Amino acid sequence: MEEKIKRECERAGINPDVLTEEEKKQLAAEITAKENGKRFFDGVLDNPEIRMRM
Amino acid sequence: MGGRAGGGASSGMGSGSRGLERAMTARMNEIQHSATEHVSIFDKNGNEVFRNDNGTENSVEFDEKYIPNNISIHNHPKGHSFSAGDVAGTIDSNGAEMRVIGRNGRVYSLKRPKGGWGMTGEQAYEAYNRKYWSNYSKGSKYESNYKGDRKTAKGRVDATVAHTTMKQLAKEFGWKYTYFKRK
Repeated sequence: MEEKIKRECERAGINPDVLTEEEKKQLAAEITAKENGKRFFDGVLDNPEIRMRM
Repeated sequence: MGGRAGGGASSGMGSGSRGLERAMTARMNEIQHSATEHVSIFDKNGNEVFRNDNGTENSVEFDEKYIPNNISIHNHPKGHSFSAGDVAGTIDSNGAEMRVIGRNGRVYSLKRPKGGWGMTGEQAYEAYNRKYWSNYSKGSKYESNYKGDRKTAKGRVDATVAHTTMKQLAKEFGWKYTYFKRK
């Protein structure tokens, strides 16, 4: 999962180091949900507060 | 992430675009000030075909089978324009239009061009992020020069960067991107 989180962050242009442990858990759950066919508007990495940490 | 999504038809609000606008307005009234995300999907006559009121602060789940050729609306508690995930989701599912309402009353709309979206959601996601980060680096200068508190400065930068990114993408790809402020 760590590798998938890194890939997802890279795709969004976000350094994974800026994520909190809780956000990493949320992102992991989101990745799993998407793998199971779920779709979302927005997502952990779309959170402006995370983007503003860059 | 989103909670349980409730699909299926619920209410018919009338016929044609007036029915759609009435249904959209009623839904915006319900979700504008919420601290968590909500979504509804309407057909062109204003019939709500999908609703999920179990989103989180940062995302809401939808069922993509209701998106094709329909109009979705969801809220952004932080008030910014569309995210990369929003645009990719709508394009991948071939939505006719997506709207977002912020707590601040700003309503953003993105419409599919007559000839179709002309790209995949993934391509749109990449294009969005490329432009977003380029605009963000310019926004950082604005933030450093802003005389108010940092939180306000960051919020303004994000709102501006997302909106500028959407304007640029719309111009480049022929999307119809508009916004207005509710009274």
